[in-house]
Amino acid sequence: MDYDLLIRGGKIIDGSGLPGYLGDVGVKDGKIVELGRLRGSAARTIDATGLVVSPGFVDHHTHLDAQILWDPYGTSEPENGVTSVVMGNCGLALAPVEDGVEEAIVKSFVRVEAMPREALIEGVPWGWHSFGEYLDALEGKTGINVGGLIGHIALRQTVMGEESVEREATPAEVERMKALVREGMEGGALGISTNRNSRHYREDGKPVASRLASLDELFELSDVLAEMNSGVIETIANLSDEEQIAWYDQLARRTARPVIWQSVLHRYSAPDFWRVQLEAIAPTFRDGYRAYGLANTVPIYNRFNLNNAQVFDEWPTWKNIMFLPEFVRKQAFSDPETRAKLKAEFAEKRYTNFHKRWDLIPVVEVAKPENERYLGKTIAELGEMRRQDPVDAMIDLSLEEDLKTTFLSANGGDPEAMGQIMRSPYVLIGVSDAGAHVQFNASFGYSTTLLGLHVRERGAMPLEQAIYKLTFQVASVYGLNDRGLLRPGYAADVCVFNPETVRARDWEWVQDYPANTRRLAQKADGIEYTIVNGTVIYEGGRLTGALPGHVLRGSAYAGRPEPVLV
Amino acid sequence: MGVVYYPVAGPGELKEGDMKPVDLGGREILVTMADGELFAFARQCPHEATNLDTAEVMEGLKLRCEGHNYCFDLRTGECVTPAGGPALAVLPLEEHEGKVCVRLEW
Repeated sequence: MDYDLLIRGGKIIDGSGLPGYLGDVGVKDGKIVELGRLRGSAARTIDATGLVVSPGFVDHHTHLDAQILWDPYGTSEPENGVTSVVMGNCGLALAPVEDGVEEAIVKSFVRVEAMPREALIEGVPWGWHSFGEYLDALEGKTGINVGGLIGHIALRQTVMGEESVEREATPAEVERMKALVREGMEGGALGISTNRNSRHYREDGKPVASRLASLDELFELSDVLAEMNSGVIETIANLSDEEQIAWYDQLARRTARPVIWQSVLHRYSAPDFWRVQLEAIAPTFRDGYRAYGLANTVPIYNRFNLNNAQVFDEWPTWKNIMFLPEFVRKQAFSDPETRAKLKAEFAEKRYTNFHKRWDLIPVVEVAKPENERYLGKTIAELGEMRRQDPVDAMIDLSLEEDLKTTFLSANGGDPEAMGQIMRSPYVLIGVSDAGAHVQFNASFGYSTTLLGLHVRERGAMPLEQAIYKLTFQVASVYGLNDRGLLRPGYAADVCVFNPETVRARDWEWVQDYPANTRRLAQKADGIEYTIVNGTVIYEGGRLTGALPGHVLRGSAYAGRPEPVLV
Repeated sequence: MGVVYYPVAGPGELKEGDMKPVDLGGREILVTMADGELFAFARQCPHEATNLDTAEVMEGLKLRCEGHNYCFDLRTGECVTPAGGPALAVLPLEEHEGKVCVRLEW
C-alpha cells in the first residue's frame, strides 16, 4: 500500500493562510507524505468531496490536566476538530509536586477552575514528581496530543510549602524554582504559566501561591526559558488593567520568548478598551518581540424575560420590581407613575454595567403567534414598529404576553469588534478553558463557533485565515514544529469538516466524571472526521476508541533518562 | 407605587451559615445568616448567572461565587472582586407581623 490513509477530493486548507485547493492527502506511518492528485493505493480511503480538509485544531488554553487522566480524549475536544491541547494554563498544573503538596494543588484547582473536588480526589492517580514524569504518565494513553506548561502555583507550593501563599520567595527559593523549571523544560514542558489574578483564591480562601510572587521572581523564572531558548510564558492577571501590558512587554523583551496574556474582549460597558489594549501592545511587536493577547470566539449571551431578568438590577426601582411576585409586578409595570420612574432611572447619566443599547437586544421568543413579526427585531426596532418609546415597547409587549417574551442580551461581543480583535496578528484565538468550570459552562466549541458563526454567518474573515488562527499560528507560537500545517513530513493531525454546517452545539450535561459527578460538555455539527497522527479518532459522531495521541514535548526536551544499572 | 412585605423566614429559623432559597414568585433569592445578621440576595450571580447556593461567606461579609470567584459585599451588593463588576442584587429585610420579610418598594 502506498498510504495507510487517503483523504480524497476535499478542499485542502493547509493552515498557512494560503487559498484552499482541491486535492487528496496521503498519510503513512502517522505522517502526511503527499498532497495533490494522488493515485496510489491506500488501506483506507475517506471521501471528502464537498468537505474541507484542514490541520486538526490546536486548543492551547485548556485545563485538562486532570480530566485527561481519566478521559483520554478530553471530550468534547475531538468532537470540535481539536487534535492537540496544551494544559497547565493560568499557573495551574499538576506538576512539579513533592509528596504532601498534592492537596494544596487540588485546593487551587477546585477553587480557581471550579472543578469538583471529589472528581479530582478519585480521578488523579498521583505518583509523579517532576513535570517530565507527569508527561511520561500520559505517554501512549491519550487519543489526542497533549502538551503542558509548568504551573507557577505548583512550583511555589513545592518549593515553599504553605509559606507560598503567605510571602515572597527568598533568593534561595527562587533558585530552587528555577532548577525545577529547567528540569521541567528538559522533561518536555512547552513553557511556564503564572497567575496574578486578584480573583483567584484557593479553596481555603488563601490567594493562589503565584499571586504572592514578585515580578522579579516571575522574571527570573522566565529567564530560564530565555537561557534554554524554548517555551512560552502564559499569564493571567486582572483582565481589564491596561497597566499590566507594560510588564507583558517587559517580559517579552527581556526573554525574547512568546508571552501570552489574557484577554482582549469587547465589552459594551467599555467598548473601546480592546483598541486601547491592542494599541498598547503594538510597539512590542513593532520592535520584534511577541506578547499575544488571548481572545475568545464566544460572546457571552444572556436570555431574559421580564419574569426573570437580572440585567436591570443596577437600578433600584427596577431591582425591586423584578423581585415582586408576578401578579404584583404586572400591576407595577402597568402603573403609569411607576413606568415613568423606571424610564427616569434609565435616563440617569452614570456608569452602569448594562449598556442600555436597545438596538443590540433582539426578541428571540414570543408567546403569541400574532407577535411572531417581532422575532429577531431589536427593542429599538420594536419601538419603531409599535410607535412607542423602546422601553415602553419592551414592557408592553411583555405584559401582552404574560411576561413570557424573551430577549437576548450580551455584555460584550459586538460582531464588528470581535472580527477586528480576532483578525489582529497580535491575538491568539482560544480560551476553551476545557476541563475547567465544568459545572458552569463549556466552551469546547470555540473552534466550531469561529468557523460557523464568525466565518460562515458573519463573514468576519476568510476560512483560510480562520484555519490559520486555529492551527499554524498556535503551533508556531508554542513551538509545535511538526504540527499545524498539512505538508509532507508533518504529523497527520487532520480535521475534515463541512463548511456549510459546522457549528457549536448548545452545552449538554454528561455524567462522566469520577465520583459520579456531572459536568457540561459541548459537541458540534459538521465535524465529519478528526484524525490524530494518521488514525481516525472521531467519525460519524462517535469516538473510535483509538489512542494515537502523542505527548507534545518542547524543544528543550532532553529525553527520558536511561535507567541506571547498579 | 407601593410596598410589599414578602415573608422569607420565621423568627430564629436560620442559623449561622444557613443558606435558604426562597421563590418570590418569579425570581429566587437566598437568605443567609452571617455574623449573626440576616441577608437576602439574588440566587443567581450577576456575572454569569451561576447559582449561588454553594457560594461562601468570607471574612468581612464578602460573598464569593464558586463560578469565577466574583466577590460581593453582602451589605451593599457591591462587587468588590473584581472592583467595579456587576453588583449583586441585595434586598432589605425587616421584621413584619412576626416574620422576617423582604421589603420591596417601588
